Amino acid sequence: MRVGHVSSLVVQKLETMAFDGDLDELRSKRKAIMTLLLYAIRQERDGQPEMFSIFLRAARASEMLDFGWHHVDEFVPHLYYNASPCAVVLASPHTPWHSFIEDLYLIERWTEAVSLVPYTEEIAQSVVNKLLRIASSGTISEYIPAEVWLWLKRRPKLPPTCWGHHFGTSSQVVKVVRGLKDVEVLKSYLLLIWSEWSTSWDELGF
Amino acid sequence: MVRVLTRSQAGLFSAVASAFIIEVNSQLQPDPNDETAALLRVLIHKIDNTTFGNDPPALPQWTSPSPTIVQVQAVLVASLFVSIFSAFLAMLGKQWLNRYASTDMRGTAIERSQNRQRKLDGVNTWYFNHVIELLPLMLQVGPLLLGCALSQYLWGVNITVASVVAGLTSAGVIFYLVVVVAGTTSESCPYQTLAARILRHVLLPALYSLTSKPLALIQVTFSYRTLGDWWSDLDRPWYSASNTVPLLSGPVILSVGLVADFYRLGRGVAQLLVASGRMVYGWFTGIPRHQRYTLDQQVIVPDLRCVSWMLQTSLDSVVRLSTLEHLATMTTLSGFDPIIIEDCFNAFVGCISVSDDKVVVVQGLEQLAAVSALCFVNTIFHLLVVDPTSGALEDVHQHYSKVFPARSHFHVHQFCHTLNMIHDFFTHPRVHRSVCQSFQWNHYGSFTHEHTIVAHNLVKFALLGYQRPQRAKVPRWILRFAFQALSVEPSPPTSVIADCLSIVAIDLRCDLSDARTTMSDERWVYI
Repeated sequence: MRVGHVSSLVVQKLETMAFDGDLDELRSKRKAIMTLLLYAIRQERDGQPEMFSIFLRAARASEMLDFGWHHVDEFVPHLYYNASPCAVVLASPHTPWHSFIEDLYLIERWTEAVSLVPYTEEIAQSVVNKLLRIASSGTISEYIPAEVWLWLKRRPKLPPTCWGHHFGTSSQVVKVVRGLKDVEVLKSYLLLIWSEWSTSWDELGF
Repeated sequence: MVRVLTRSQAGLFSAVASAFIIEVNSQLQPDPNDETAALLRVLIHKIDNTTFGNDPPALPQWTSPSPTIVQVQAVLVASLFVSIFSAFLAMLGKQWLNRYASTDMRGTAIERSQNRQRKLDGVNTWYFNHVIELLPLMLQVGPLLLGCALSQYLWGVNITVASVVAGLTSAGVIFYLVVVVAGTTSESCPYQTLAARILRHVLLPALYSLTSKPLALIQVTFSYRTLGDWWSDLDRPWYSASNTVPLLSGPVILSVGLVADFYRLGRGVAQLLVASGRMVYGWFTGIPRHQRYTLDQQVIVPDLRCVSWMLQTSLDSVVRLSTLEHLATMTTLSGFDPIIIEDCFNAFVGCISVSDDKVVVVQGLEQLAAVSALCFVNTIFHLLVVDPTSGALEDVHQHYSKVFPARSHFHVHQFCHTLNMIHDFFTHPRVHRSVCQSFQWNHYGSFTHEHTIVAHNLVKFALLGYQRPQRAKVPRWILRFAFQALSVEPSPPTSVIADCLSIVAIDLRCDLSDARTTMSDERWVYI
């Protein structure tokens, strides 16, 4: 009973914070919000998606490139192996990507989840965002199946501040996309990333 | 014994002073014997006017006593009054001490202990010790006054006798001064007096600050530093032609420096006045500013001192157990003295034995070990929240390292997970690690009742950390506990989840007043 009461209080508060869009408050409370991530994912798996969806809204509203807390690292395998495919895909942009280097099975789990989720704009955003982030690392980009790249054709509008934009212009990503030899994917990639290319992102690109 | 000595000595001094007062008092008024003798001389002169030659006797005219006699009598009366007043104060002191020593037979042990602690705190707050220490001081002043008065009086009677009295009095004064100086310079000197204590604790630091501060103050002034730089930048010799411009600019620099220093001085004086005002306000309100507690704290602070005192003085396991149980159930530890951590630690150490790096509980003391461990953990958590950089933590660390080897491991103990975590905290170097990183909450591999209790307590500490001035954040190490507990599989008990969500809610500034009411309804048992 008390869990439900406190949980609803937290959800209401996060909703207000996300609605108000007070960036300073959202960013200063980032660690508290991240504390809820795995609990919210478990709730979502058990048929109570409210906390997870409000977590995603708050994370998006913060407009932070890295909303995560480094203590989440050790729980990433828990997340990928126990969460629903939808939760895996939606939460993946907020989890540390370097876990993929240490545990290649996570890519397998992620691609499996991507193949299972239905299309929505939100899911497409998350997939493309994480895809570009993974592809920017030459060592693990080869583990991404070609069909995952087809999500680029959906051309979801990426958030203005995200890892996808940040690393999408890197030479490694361009090389991988060109290597697919799919004109539609290449066109979508150029339209999606380079049409919104900003000079502030060229430090890591070419 | 002091009381009896004070009263008997005061009586002795009063009797001696009274004898001299009576003696000198006759000289403050006209002597009827002198008048009788004068009348007899007049009568003889009437009968035979050749008896006194050409100098007829006259009746003496009383004007007033000599100023010396008045001064002597005044000092003697002062000596008597001081002696009597010290006897009066000794009687009052006896009454106060009787009331202090009286034992209240009503109420529970906790209430009686609280009452005792309240009385002890009152003794400290109202400077009872200082008032009682005035008694011997007054008795020392009495003989001094008597000696001075006697010397002055006898000087007019007989210089030789007066010299002996003055010499002995001076010798007594010199001896006392030597004793005071000895007591002031060395704290281990057995000849301690009140004057020596005052000199050591008040006058010596004041003298030190008077001699050291002016120089230090001058050295930090803007004028001093600017002039120093200006002088070092001059070419040598200073009167060379190349120094014309710098020499002309010197007065300007000095003027600017003085203006800046006057501004700083004015600001400092204003701050000093404000601080003095606050201090005076503190004096009038009777309680020092840092000790002005809210109504709850007026109960909590004596409770904590009382707990600390009982743990320090009692070796009885039943008394220690009930004391620690009381501490464990206290809702807040605000205003606590870090020494209580050591007390809880000592109580815990008394219940365990360490052999081959294994820490085991002594048979029959399991309950005491559990409660003392909980109190030890709670008090450490409290200190980490209110003052993570406290020097007391280092003291506990040193004490801990002496008792527990680095490879110690707690097992078969109700709070073994938390204790192992505290052990890691103390035994691993924390030079470059924060408190947040030091606590490895993953010790709670499988969920136990211990986890529930720790979670419950951490909610209180989270609230305390959040309420700290200008913080409005839950300490990160507590938030990490919530994160760890909410993230692991399988899920912890619902009470732990509720507590962890409460921790997050506190950090997010949710209004938890309803939830806390519900929380307080859920009574939990710690053993």
